[in-house]
Amino acid sequence: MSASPDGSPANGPGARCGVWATAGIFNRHLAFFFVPIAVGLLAFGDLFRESGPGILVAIIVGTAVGIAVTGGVAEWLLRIGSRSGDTR
Amino acid sequence: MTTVFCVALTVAAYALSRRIGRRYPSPLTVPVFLATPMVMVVLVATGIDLDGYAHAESFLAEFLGPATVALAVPLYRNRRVLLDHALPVVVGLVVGAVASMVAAVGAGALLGLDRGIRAALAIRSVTAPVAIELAGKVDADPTVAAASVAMGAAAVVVSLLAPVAVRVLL
Repeated sequence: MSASPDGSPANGPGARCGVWATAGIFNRHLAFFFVPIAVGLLAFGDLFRESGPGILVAIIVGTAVGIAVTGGVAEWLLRIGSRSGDTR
Repeated sequence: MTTVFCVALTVAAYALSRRIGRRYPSPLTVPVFLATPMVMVVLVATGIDLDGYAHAESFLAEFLGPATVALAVPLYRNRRVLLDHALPVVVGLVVGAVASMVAAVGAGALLGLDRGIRAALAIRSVTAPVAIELAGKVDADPTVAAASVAMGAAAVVVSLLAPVAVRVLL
């Protein structure tokens, strides 16, 4: 099986209808689609003046805890799994 | 006409910010952080208000749906790893998502944020397109407004901090 430059199988599933290529464009430029939403923040000036710092802190805390707990739990389970040897 | 201009403006700002970001790689030069103020400045300078930009915004936000579905492709590509470690992956994600929501809402409550904003913080972690759908179900209008705030702010903050966070935590 040959592979295209982006590593997708040239004759794998989805190749004929261009799923790989289309998804590749979306994935590469995912950030673009968040720009208009972020611009829309202009409409919420009052709300930001009122509770901006609180929102900011809550987002940072929530995101950091999410990353840390997800990684921590997954790593812990991987460690137990490899020790007892019953999960692949 | 305004809508066409706004879409073109957004694309141009994104393209420019990508070019800058490639030359000066830094969390401060990621597209969301750099292109957003560019668009804002031009809007203010040309006197286009947000109602004028709203059509372009909803048109472009429409693509967040397919863009999110497209994330399935990298998952498919890494299916071996994911399936081999299905248990740690699933449990880690579920526990992590819940912890993220609890932490965000808890921090919001401690900081005295409104109920609507706290609801928005809770659904923020499920990514924008899903969250906008959820917003209607969790509560009415104010939540939708707050959700878009949390989402937009989160997009900016996370795009800014994610590279740093990953480096620190790994």
